[in-house]
Amino acid sequence: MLSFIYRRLLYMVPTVFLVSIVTFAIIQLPPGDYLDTLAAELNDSGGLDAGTMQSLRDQYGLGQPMYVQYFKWMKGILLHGNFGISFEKNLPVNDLIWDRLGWTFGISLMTLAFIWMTALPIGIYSAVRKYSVGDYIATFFGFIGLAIPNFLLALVMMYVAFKYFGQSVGGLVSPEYLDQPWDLEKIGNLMSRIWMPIVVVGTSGAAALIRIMRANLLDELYRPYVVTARAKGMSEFKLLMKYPVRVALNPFISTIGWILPTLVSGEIIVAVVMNLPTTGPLLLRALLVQDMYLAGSLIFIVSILTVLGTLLSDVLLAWIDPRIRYQ
Amino acid sequence: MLIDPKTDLTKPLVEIRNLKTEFFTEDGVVTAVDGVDLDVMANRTMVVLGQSGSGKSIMARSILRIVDKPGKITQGSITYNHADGRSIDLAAMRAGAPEVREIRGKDISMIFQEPMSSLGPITKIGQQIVETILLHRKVTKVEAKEEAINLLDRVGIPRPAERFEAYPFELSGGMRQRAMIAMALSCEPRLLIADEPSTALDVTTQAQILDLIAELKEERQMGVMLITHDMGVAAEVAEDIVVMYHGKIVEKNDVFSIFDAPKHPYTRALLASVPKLGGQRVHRLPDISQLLKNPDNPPAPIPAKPRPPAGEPIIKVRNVNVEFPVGGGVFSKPTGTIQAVKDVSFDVYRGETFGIVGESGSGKSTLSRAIMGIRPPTSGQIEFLRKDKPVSEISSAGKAEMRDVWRDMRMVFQDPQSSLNPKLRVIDLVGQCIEKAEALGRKDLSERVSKLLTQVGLSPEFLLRHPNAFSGGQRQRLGVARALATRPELVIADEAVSALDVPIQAQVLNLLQDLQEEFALTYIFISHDLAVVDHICDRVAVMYKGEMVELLTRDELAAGPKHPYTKSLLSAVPIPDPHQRDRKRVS
Repeated sequence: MLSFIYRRLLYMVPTVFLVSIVTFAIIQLPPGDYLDTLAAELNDSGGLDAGTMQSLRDQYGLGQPMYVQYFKWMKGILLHGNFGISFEKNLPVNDLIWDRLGWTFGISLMTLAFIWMTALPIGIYSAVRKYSVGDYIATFFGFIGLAIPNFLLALVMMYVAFKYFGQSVGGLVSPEYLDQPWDLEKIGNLMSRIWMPIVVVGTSGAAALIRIMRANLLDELYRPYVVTARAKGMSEFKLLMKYPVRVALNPFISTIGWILPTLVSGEIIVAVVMNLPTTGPLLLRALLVQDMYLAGSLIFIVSILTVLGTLLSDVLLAWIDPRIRYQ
Repeated sequence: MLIDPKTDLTKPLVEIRNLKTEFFTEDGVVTAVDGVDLDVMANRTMVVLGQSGSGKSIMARSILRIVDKPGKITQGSITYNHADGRSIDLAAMRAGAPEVREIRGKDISMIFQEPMSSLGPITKIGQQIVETILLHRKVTKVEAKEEAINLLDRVGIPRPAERFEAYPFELSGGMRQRAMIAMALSCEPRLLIADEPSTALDVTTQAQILDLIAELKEERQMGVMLITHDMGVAAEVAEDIVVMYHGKIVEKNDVFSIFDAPKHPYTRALLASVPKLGGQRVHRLPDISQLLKNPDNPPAPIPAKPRPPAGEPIIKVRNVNVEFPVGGGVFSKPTGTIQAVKDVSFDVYRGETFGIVGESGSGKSTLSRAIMGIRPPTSGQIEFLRKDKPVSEISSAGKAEMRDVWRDMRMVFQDPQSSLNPKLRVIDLVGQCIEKAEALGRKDLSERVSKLLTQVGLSPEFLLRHPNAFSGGQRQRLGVARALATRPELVIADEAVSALDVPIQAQVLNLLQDLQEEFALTYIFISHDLAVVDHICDRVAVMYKGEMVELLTRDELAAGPKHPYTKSLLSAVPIPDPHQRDRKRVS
C-alpha cells in the first residue's frame, strides 16, 4: 500500500509540471496582454503614449519571450512561494487568493458531504426498492436536479429566501456582520446562509450520483455472493451494507477528484449570482482583463488541488477495494 | 464436535411436502418446482440430479428461503426438525424472518457453484468466516478467528493463518471452494447443501473437493444434499439419488438401483446419453429426444466405423513457444514472462479429430490461439497446408493472407451465450463472413444461411430471429453454422460442448461428427473433459503446464496412458458407475 502511494506521488511530479506549462500557455493564448486591455480602456479617456506603454511593458516583463516569463514565474513560486503580482489590483497574488481559496475549499468539502449524505441513502433505497413509489420519486427529483442549470436554481432559491423568509441574499454572511470579527453569532449567521450555495452547487452532483449508485448497486444486488451472505443467516440490512454497497461505493470515492474543479470552474456563474467570496468571480475577472499572473496562479493551484484530490480518491479506492491495490 | 449419539438419525432433518415454487415473470408464471415431496436425512448423501432448468437448484434454495425475486413458494410445506425436537415450517415463514435466519448458516448451510463470485469480492476470506461464526455462536472475536483458522486448516488450505488475511481473488478456484466449505461448516450444520460445488473446477480439483465433502460428512454425521448435472459425480458420491425433470421428482432411490435399474424413461435416457470413458467406441451418442419417444426399446449402439488411415498433414506445429509478459505498468518494463506453451510440436492430419486435453492453465487455449494466428507464438513455426493453395506460415503471414486463412480455418467457442452478438439476427450472425467476401445479395445470402441452418439441425424459419430467442444447445448449433459458413477445411472447437447439459452435449457431438463426414472436415477439439475427448477424437494430446506431455491414439488412451500426469487425470474423472467408486485415484 505504501509503495502504491509512493508511486502515485512520483507520477504527480511530471503531471504537475505539465499542468503548469499548459496553464501558462493557456493564459498567453488570447491575443495581446494586460497592457493592451489597459490601453483600450484608457483610450476613451485620453490614452497612453507609446513611451509609457514600453516602460510599463519592461516593468512587468511582458516584452520578454514566453519561456523566460514562464521560468521567472516558476522560479518565484518554487523558491519563494511568490505567485507574482496582480496587474489590475497592483497587489501580490498571494494577498488576493488564499482567503478565497480557503472559502472555495471549505465550500467544496461541505458540498461533498452534502452530496454523499443525500446520494448514498437515496441511491441505496432506489436500488433496493426498484420500481417502488419511493424510487420513482427519487428518480423524478434526480432528473430535475440534473436538468436545472444551477444558476437558475440559485436565483429561484434566493428569490424564495428573500420573498418568504425575509432573508437578505448574496454573500455568505449578512451585511451587518461583514466587517465584524468572527464570533459565535457571526458563525451562526454563516451557518444559516451557507447551506444555500451548498445545495445549489451540490444538487446536480447528488442527482448524478444517485443515478450512478442505483445502477451500480443494481448490478451487485443479485450477485451470487449476496446469496451466500443471505444463506449465512445475515440480516438483510447488514448484508446489504457489508457486501453489495461496499462494492458499489467506488463512484462515491471518485467524486473527491472532480468536486473541486467543478466548483471552481463550473460554478463561476453561481458564485457571481450569489456573490460568494470564492475564487470563481476573481478568476473570471482576471481572465477578462488578462491579469495573467492572477489567472495563472488560480488555475495552477486549483489544478494541483485537483491532482491531489484525485490522488486522495485513488488511495481511498485502493483502500476499500483490494483488487485495485494489486493491479 | 460430533453429533450427540442420542440424536435420532432416522428422523428426517427436512420434510418437503407438495412444494411448488413459481416465478412471476412478465411473460407469465413459470413453475420451477412442481409438487415435490422429499425427506432429507441426517448422515446421508443425497444427490439431486437434473439438467439445467430442471428446478433442482430452486428446490434447494426454497429450503433456505433464498430464492431470488420474482420467485415465490406458492404451495406446500418445508418442515425443519430442530435437534431439540422443535419443528418449524420454513415455507410458511417470511423469507427474512429471524426464525429462518437462525437456521441459515447454522443448521443448514450452503455452498455454491462458482467460488469466485460466491465469495464477497473485497472482504478477506477469514473475515467472511468469522462473520458467520459471530452471527450464530456466542464467542469472542479472538476465539472466532482461532476457530476460522482451524477450519481453514481442516479443509486443507496450507498456511491457514496467512490465508486468513487473503482476498478471494488471491486464491485458486479449488482453494476458494475450500474456503467456502470452511465457511459453511463453521457453525457445525446438520445439513450441508452443495449446489454444483465442483462443476467450475478442474477434474483433479473436483475429485479433491468431493473427497473432502465425503470425509466431512462421515466425521460430522451431517446430511449432505448435493446438486449436480454430472452423472459421474452422482455415481461417485451419492447414497441416494433424486432425479428431477421439469420441476418434478421423476425418480428417487439408492444410487445402485438408479444406475443399475433406472425405472423412469428420463433417467434411462439421461444415463444413456453420457459419453463413457473407454470401452467400445460408439458411432453416435444416443439422442435424448428419441430415447424419450421410445423409452422401452432404445436403439442398440452402433459401433464406430473404423477411421480411414491418416492422410497428409493439414497443420504442422514445430517447436512452438508462447510467452506472456507479466507485471510492469505503463512506464515500467514487464518483470518477467509466463511460458504458456513450451516447445510444442505435432501434426494434425487431414480428416481426423485431434483432441487437446488439459486443466485450466495448461496452455491448451493459448495453443489454439497460436494456431489461429490470434496470439502469434514467441518462437516456432505453424504451417497450414490447404488443398489447392500454397502453404501458409501462420506466424509470419500478413493481414491479407490471414484473412484468407481464416476462411479455411474456423472456430467454435465455448460459451454460446457470449460468443454470439445479441444485436444481430441469425442471417447476419451466420452470414456476415460470407456476405462481403462472396458479394452475395440478400436473397442469395438468405438461401445460403437457410441451407446452413438445415445442416446444423435448425429450422430455416429462424433466419430473422435474435440469438437470445434460442436455447443453449441451439445457440451452439448457430456457432457451428457460423463456423461452417465459409466451407472451411479445419474447425477448432475450444471447449465447444463444455457449457452444455449432457443430453444437449450428446446432440452437438453427434452433429459435429455428422458434419465431419459430410464435409470432410478436420477438427481440433479442445476440452478438459476426457470422456468427451475419448468419444470424439482420433488422437489426443495431453497438455500440462504448457508442455505436451503425451500424444496418444484413442486405443492407446483406452489401453492406459504412460505419463503419470495423464494417469492421474484419467483416474480423477468421475465414472458414471457407482460400482467403480472405490477404485484408487492416482495423484
